[in-house]
Amino acid sequence: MKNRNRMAARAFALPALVTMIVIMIVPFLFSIYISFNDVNLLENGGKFVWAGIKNYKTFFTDSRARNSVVVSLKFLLGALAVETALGIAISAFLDRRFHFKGIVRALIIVPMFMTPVVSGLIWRAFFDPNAGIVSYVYQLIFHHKLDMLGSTSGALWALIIVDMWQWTPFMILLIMASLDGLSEDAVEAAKVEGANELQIITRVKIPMIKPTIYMAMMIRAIDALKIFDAIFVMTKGGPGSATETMNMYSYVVGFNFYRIGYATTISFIFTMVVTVVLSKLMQRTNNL
Amino acid sequence: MKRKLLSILLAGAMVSSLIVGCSSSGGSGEGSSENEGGGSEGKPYDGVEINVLCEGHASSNAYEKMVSEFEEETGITVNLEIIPYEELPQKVLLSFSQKSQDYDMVMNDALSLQGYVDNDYIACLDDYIANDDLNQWYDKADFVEAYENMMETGGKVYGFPVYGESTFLMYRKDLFDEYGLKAPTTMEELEQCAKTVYEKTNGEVAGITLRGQQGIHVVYTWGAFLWGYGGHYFDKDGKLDLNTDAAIEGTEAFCRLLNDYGPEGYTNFGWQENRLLFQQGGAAMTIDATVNGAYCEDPNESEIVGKVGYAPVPAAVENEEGGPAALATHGFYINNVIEDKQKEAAFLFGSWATNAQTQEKMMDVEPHCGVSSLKAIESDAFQDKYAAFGNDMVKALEVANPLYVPTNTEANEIINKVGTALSKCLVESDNIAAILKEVNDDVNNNVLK
Repeated sequence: MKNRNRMAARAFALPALVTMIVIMIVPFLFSIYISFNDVNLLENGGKFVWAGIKNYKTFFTDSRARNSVVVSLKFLLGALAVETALGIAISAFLDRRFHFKGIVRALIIVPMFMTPVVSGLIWRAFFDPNAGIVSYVYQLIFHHKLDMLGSTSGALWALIIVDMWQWTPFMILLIMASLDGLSEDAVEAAKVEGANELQIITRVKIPMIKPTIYMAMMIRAIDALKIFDAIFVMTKGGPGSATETMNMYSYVVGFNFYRIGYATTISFIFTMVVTVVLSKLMQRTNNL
Repeated sequence: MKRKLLSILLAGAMVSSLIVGCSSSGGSGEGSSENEGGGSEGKPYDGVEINVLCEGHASSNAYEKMVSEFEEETGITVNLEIIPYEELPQKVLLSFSQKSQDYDMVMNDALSLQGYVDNDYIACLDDYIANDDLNQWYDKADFVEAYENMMETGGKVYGFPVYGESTFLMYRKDLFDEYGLKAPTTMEELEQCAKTVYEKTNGEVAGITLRGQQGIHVVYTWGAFLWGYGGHYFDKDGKLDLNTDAAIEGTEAFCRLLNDYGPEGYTNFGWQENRLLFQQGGAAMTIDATVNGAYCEDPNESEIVGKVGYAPVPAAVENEEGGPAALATHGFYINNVIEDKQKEAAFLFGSWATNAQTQEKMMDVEPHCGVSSLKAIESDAFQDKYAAFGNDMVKALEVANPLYVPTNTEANEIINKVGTALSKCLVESDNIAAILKEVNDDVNNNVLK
């Protein structure tokens, strides 16, 4: 009887298992296989030609690929630092009773609902040095126009600003939910001990919600590393390769150079980078 | 007990349906269907259905409006799919490399032709052209020679030239008159004119606007400076040759013009942005595609109608290898893996779509000055509509440089790499020689091995 129950249970699990194998494991293994092949849609009719570790060697000698890793990490660190700091600060500020708190919370998360392509296009218009609001305000203060997307240092910051605008609300949402769930006992105890509001936030509340902050950072890190849409519509990876992340470069290699094998190698290495970043963050979360 | 058995059976059915579903999704190529009903008298291809992938362009819009005439005449059903040009090359190549029969014919620029031919992706048209029973419309002699040449490789014809263009200098006659300037014929004069307008208007009007967006856009306009200063893309051995004095000098002039007298934000200017700024009166000059003439003279689009002068692209030196005016052609190509009858039907459509009569009519239904038929260019319709720049466009075509941008199999990769390097030159203009050397070495070591 027990055996039959087990069989039934396995039979029910089988469709999910097969689905997972078909849509996740097989493509993943196949992509690893492609990364060891030369697949160029404009050579040999796109046929697979075994290349061993050639694509991996190319990656480490390709200065543009190395640059893309650096750009990805710069973007990740910039976006994550700004969004985490702002997320904590705004959540702490909103963690009090005031009129229309619900409405304010709802309004704050509005940017999250926008498609990244649309927000990228809107922000591209905002950053336009001739007609954009950013340049206009800058010109009022400094008396000359600002072309952020046209400078190698400014373009990456412009992308970080867009990401910050769209995804800081996500940090706020998670941190506020966590703050709402905090036990009042610790806060009351701190008050009795004479702690002021700033001390309560920095020394009581934030340490208590650290796991949530790390979890939110982890989710944002994944998103920040895989950013593509905003870059594609705002800078196309330029000027030069100043905003060309690994994702963007992988796209260029795959769909401009048609070197599918090498593009898959870049994507695979990208997956490895994400895994390393994630495991570091998870380690921190688990140690708390 | 029975319920458990039933559960196991159901689960098994789910798994098997999943497997069947997966296996049946494989095998592309059912896209284009051929009706086996046989042709009626005088219409041997009656009932045949072809799928044609077109790029978003005035010519495609015109075909959409006119295709019923072809369908009525031949009995062939034509399914036109129009997608933005940016997405088209990838879609075509993925379809071709999978030996898919989804599209019987595709439109794309001539840059891709060599790669398609090298990989047997497209059919040679010579046999169809020579077949008198089939060939009702194709007339090689009627095409602009430069356009038709770009549809050939190895002495064989592989495509129908749908439309083409060259480049010319567009300048504001009113501003030039006001500041006592003449249309520039040399690069030095070009820079002087840009400087004068920029300074006289206190930078309110840019001296010149050019595409600066990395990739094909910046490569397309920078080519005028490369060739105009006596440079070229490839040496005699077929290696990239941008690490030369001419290329460096041309690039320096290009960057200087844009950085000193260009509009703000030019690094993100593609064709659209550049065209719009000039049409809105934001710049005194631009060098761009001849098709822009139609937009400059369109009262619905432009604020400078009648104020634009057209002149050949200036050059600093005479370059025997090729001039500073571009030559671009977009054509129809027939998928090589489809059935013979499908190929013949596609040939009929391609030859109908590019014949003189069809092209003349196209100008009535869409603003389309890039026609490839000589008869259409000489027609009253063309002269009436595009009198302001029509003759200058024809002159530009006569000197257009077929080597203006790379057209070899590796063209896309070279254009992207050079375009990225140029974008870098524009923001790091004191480092031009090093940047050009770097991209030159990169392409020669990694792409043209």
